[in-house]
Amino acid sequence: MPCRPLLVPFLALTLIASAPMGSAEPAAPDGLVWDARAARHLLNRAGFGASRRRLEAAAEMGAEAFVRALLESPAEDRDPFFAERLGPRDMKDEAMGAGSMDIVEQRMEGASKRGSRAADKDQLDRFRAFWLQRILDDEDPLRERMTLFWHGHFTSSFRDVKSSYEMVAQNELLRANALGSFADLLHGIARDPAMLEYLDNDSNRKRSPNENFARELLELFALGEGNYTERDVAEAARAFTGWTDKNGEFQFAENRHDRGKKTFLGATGRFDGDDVIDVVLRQKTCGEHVARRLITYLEGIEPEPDRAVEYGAFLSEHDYSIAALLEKLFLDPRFYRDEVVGTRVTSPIDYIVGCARRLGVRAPGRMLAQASALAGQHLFEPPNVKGWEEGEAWITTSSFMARSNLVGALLGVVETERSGSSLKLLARLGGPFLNLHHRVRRTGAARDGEIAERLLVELLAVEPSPEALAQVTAFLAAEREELGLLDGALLEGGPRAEPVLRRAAHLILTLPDAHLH
Amino acid sequence: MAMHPLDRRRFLQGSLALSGLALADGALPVRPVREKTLVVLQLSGGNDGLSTVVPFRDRAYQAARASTRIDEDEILPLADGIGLHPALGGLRDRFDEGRLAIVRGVGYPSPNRSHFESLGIWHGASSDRRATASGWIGRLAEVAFGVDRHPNRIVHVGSRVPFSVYSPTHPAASFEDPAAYRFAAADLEELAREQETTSGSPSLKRLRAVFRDAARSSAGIRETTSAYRTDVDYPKTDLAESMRTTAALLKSDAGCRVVSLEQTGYDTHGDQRGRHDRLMEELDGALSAFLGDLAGSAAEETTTVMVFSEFGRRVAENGSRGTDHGKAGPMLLLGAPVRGGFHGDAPSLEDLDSGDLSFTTDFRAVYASVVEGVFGVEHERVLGARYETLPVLA
Repeated sequence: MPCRPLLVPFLALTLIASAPMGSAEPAAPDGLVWDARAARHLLNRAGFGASRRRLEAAAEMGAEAFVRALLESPAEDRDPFFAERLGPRDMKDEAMGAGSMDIVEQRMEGASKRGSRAADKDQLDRFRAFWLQRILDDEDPLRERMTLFWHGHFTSSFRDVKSSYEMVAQNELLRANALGSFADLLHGIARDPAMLEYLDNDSNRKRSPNENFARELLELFALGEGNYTERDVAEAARAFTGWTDKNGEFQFAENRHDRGKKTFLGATGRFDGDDVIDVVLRQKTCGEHVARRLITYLEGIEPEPDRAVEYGAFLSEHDYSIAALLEKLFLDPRFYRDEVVGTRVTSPIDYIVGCARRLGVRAPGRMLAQASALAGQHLFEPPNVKGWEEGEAWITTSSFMARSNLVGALLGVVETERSGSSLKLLARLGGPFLNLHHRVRRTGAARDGEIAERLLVELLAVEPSPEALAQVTAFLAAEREELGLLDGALLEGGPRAEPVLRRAAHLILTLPDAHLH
Repeated sequence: MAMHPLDRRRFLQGSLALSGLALADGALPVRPVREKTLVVLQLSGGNDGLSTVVPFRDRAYQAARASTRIDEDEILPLADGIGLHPALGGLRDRFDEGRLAIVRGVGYPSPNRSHFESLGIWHGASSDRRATASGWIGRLAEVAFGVDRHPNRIVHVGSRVPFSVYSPTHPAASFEDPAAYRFAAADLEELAREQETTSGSPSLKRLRAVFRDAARSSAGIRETTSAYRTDVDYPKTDLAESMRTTAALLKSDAGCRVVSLEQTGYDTHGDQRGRHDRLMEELDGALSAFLGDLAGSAAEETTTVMVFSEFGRRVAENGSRGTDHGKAGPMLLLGAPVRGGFHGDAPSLEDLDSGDLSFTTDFRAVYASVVEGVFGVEHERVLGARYETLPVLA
């Protein structure tokens, strides 16, 4: 493949030049260089990527003002009418109106076993679409990012819970508290019907306790492995006996609860579940565990022990305020170090939403949800209780193919006849609405290298690598020569140029660089 | 775009070495000497060993298991007081043929009851519990295959690729549905075959190696599996489907040396009996069909199947007719190269470690036996320490 020498440093300049910072330096904490690179990084991680226009605005605002704006949720309440439709209580009320308890039972049973199974699945599909739409709309990116984080942290799966009502209710709990207090989240999740069922606490009884919830509370949710003993697991399980749910509501079954004394993490008393959670929240290791999980998720690299201790202490001192921790993190120069910026592997949702956004395709949520499921991230059906394994675990030989094929469909450049129906739907969406040729031409790019660079800057979430630039330039040169055009004349080829640019975009979004952010 | 000349050469060398075609005195072609292969099946969630290889006469077992107990009239007896779960009829036949080895009481010191910690220990298999850069199969690939970067040496069939097969230099080819294992844009697949993997940041380098392997493994995997025909009736389960794909790969010259698979659903905290019965049935059906499919082929003589789970379950039941996370459990090895029968000592049901079975055989000793027996590699080079190997392979 022919390879032309190219000026790499020029790349870095393009983005910065397109994001003027103004003459007066906006406020930034010591040591933090707030520029287009930093703004892009923050929007990749705190949100789901950004268009160039949004990056420019962010860079101009200054670090502190921008972070503050991210943390402020829009006042408008956009909660949709969900969950109420197939809620077990409503079904029961309706049946109650019809007559005796027998009929209630019959209806509940019949409904839950037959028609409502499909309707239940459909309701969850509609909620998935709504969530992805909300992510793409970008009106409250940090809240959506954090809701997704908590969905992986306090995870439950529809496969086990088998109720869209409860899955949606859990999501609303996570969204409402996504930036609030971790203490509220932890108390809330312990009473959350989906969680109680997912981790078998609904059958945790005094006579012989079920440890599933208690163990994950300590290991995954709050303290981390090594910070409790097997005895603590058993004692916590006793405290949560009788915590169950009925008709989609938390219920305390007194006769199943063990009222005896428990010794848990050094404290002794007739503890119930809330007492155990309060003891957990008093542990130094709790703040550290939560801080470590958050930093690992957002930076893509596990923090050094000192840093986890520092952030853990900060979290405990600030009443477990997640917003306070995020503000500290987003203004921390270490968040912007070279080891972190542009090195995290995107999740399928990051990848698909990022591609749609940077291509400028207004894909409906339903399609984005299907696409991310095809690429391995099916919302509400995580692989296990640990949620999704993030980072490099997303990259396999088949995920490269799946992602390339999805975006090829979105660009309308691959044959979709033999592919799944969702790919076909995607193809109908993207293709017609794109005009890459116009978009590139407007910038004054004309030669192969310039076009390649412009496309890379517009479509990637990271600084393009020199190898990627060389590959895309060579691809464009070969295609152009096939059309019998001289270097610099490709975009003059009018309608003939658009398919070439779309295939170049497909190449870009297939390359390894496209899977980093 | 044509195949890169270097790749073509490497590819040809690979397939020549693989077929082992040696023409003795230019006369009769000798039967191809196939290289030995390993199939690793993970039972995810923590399989209840006591309901798999059942000490049905043990009074402590009978007393501890009210709802999950398997009674003598259901059991498939193997030896005095020990039998297999009633759904494991196919495995019992293998045992009778001397092709099923049961290693009892497998675990490791200072056991961990967390799924993730314990899986990490089984996947990493480091000698000192410290994190390793590659999984144990990844390290095996690095040692055993070295400069041979054939993309199909390690294959994972399934959606979740376990850390065990992770290696930055020898990525596993992985797929759930082999028919969909392709880049829809053929020119991109050609381009990816030539992906340079030696420059760039460390994360880009690793991604590029996977990208290149994706392109280089795509056609071979697809063609091998789509062209595959067999008279064996596989059950209609996910595991059986994956095992059918495995048979197709191993009977072909696709170049696989390790195939990794997973069966999920073993975390039976509640209503265990019915759930576990179905899992055993699925397991037996898939393994029996697979071994039957290999029968008579060259791959029959060279294939060893190893079955493990991250831990066994608590001896006593919980209050939900299920069992919580435990410690030691049995490992199974199957196939013609296997020396059948019992290996390792059965753990005591009376002398428990906080309610769990104590391990009697270190899982790394089983790995060591397989590393030497299947790959002819000194196990210390892969596992970082010496273990006493078991005579599980002939």
